[in-house]
Amino acid sequence: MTQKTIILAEEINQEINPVTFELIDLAGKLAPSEDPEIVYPTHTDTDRAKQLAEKTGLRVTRLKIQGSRGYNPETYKQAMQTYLEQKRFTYLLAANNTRNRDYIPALAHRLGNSCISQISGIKQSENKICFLSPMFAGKYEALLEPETGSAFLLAQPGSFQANPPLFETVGEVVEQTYAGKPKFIHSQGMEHDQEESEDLKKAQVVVSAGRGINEQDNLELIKRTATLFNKGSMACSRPICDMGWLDYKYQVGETGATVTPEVYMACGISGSMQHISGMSRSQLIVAVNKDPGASIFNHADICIQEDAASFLETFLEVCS
Amino acid sequence: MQILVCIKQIPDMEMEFNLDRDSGWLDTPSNPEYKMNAFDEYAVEEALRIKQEFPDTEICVVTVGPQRSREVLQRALGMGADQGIHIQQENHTSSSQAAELIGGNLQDKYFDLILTGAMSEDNMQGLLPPLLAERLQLPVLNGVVQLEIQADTVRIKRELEGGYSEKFQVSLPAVLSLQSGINTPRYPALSKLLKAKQAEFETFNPEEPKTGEKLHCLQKPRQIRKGLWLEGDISSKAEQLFKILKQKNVLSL
Repeated sequence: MTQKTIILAEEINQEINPVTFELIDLAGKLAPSEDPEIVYPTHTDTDRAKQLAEKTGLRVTRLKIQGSRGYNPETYKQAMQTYLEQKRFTYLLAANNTRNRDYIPALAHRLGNSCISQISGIKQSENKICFLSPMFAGKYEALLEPETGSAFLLAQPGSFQANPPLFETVGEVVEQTYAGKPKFIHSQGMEHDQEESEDLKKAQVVVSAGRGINEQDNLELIKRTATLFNKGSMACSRPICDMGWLDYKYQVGETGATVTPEVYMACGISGSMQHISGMSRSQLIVAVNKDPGASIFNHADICIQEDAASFLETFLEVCS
Repeated sequence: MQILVCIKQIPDMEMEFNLDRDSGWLDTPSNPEYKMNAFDEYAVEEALRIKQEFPDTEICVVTVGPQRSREVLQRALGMGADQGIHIQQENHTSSSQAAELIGGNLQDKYFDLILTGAMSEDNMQGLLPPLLAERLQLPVLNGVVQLEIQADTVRIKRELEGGYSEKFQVSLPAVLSLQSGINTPRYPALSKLLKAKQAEFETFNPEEPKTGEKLHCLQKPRQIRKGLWLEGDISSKAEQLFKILKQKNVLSL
């Protein structure tokens, strides 16, 4: 059976991960005339397959993985290999996240295919399709073209449209079971251990610090700026937490909080995709950075080329 | 135990780059500056931390790149690594090429643990760990924030997206890619750094491997939002922003 595009669906918080719908959007761009097929590998008994088939109108294969407690990259890899070996496809689309990076690239290699990760867009020209993926700290993006029969593509969440199209028909649900024992990796459970700060959750305005703030003492300027607003909160990008300057509960981005305030002020933040995905749906984005080439400016409504700390000092004076 | 740490030399991202329109690649500035990929410093530090706990540990660092990339091997030795391996490649390598070069050239050596950073700051793909593990037929896990060696296994905690984490027990040998922030990388010691300058590195000169994807060119990222650049001096910009925020009615003044 030929199928042009296969989408790897996943769940999060007992819901279909919204990125699954983004992958459907990407599939539509790659092959507008052909319906993609969804594969939904799961080790749990909860069943999102029906929900997926209802929402998307697409054929869904629920790949029930037995033999391991919790997610296990070994059994997922084996199950997906067994599934994909029965298929002919041009693209396998999956979200670029920690779990998928465990085994999707290896599977691509095992099946003689290429893998491109962190895909943020596509560029079609003549009769070829190139995938856009950031390089050099996001200051540039590469145009990459797979040169193997099939390509495994890991799309960056937040890069494509997540509005699920409404279908009148319900897709078919097929059940497949894979039983395999992991040899090397044993799961010991999952936790939710990072609650974002209460202020950050409720904030109308988020004033966020990045590495460009330069000194830990300058975080005082971030805190003081946040107090200028009715419901202001400070926040930061990952490097600030990694350096131990702020607790991880203030982290905005892929591995931290996702915020959608009325105003997001990015101060000294370079704008990695991992950070952007946590704040890109803010209403107004203000970026302050001394490097005019910083990729944060591509995602900003208001661009201010200044040293972040000096600018905040001046801004605080203006407001007083 | 034997630990291999994969490290990479990358251009300093603060350099002013110029995109050459004809080649679609970056021109090398007249005084190029290079450094160790920041994510890899965590991997070297974590190996050193394990060595503190298990003193008979030997740490080997490997890098793929041109002659100048030996500087990162020296830096790692300056931090405390024991030996370095240099796989010579003149051209820019993709993650899959690096995995093939490291996996192919080091397949006769034994390592209990292979550590890498989360990604390289230039390629940003994060594909080396799974591809290298696949070549060596080893288990792999990404995003590790805690690890503890227990006999012939390693217990790890790794970070997922959105504040979740999960724990695994993995049998050795294994490949682990470490999340940034897992430790605080030390600076190289001057005495060790001086000694490292004289160090001999095992060197391989393989041909450039084929790659499964063609990198056509680089381009400036697309403008996602229509950025309005505020003009004038710093005070004027601050006043303009004040007006904009006042109109939005979010200031508590």
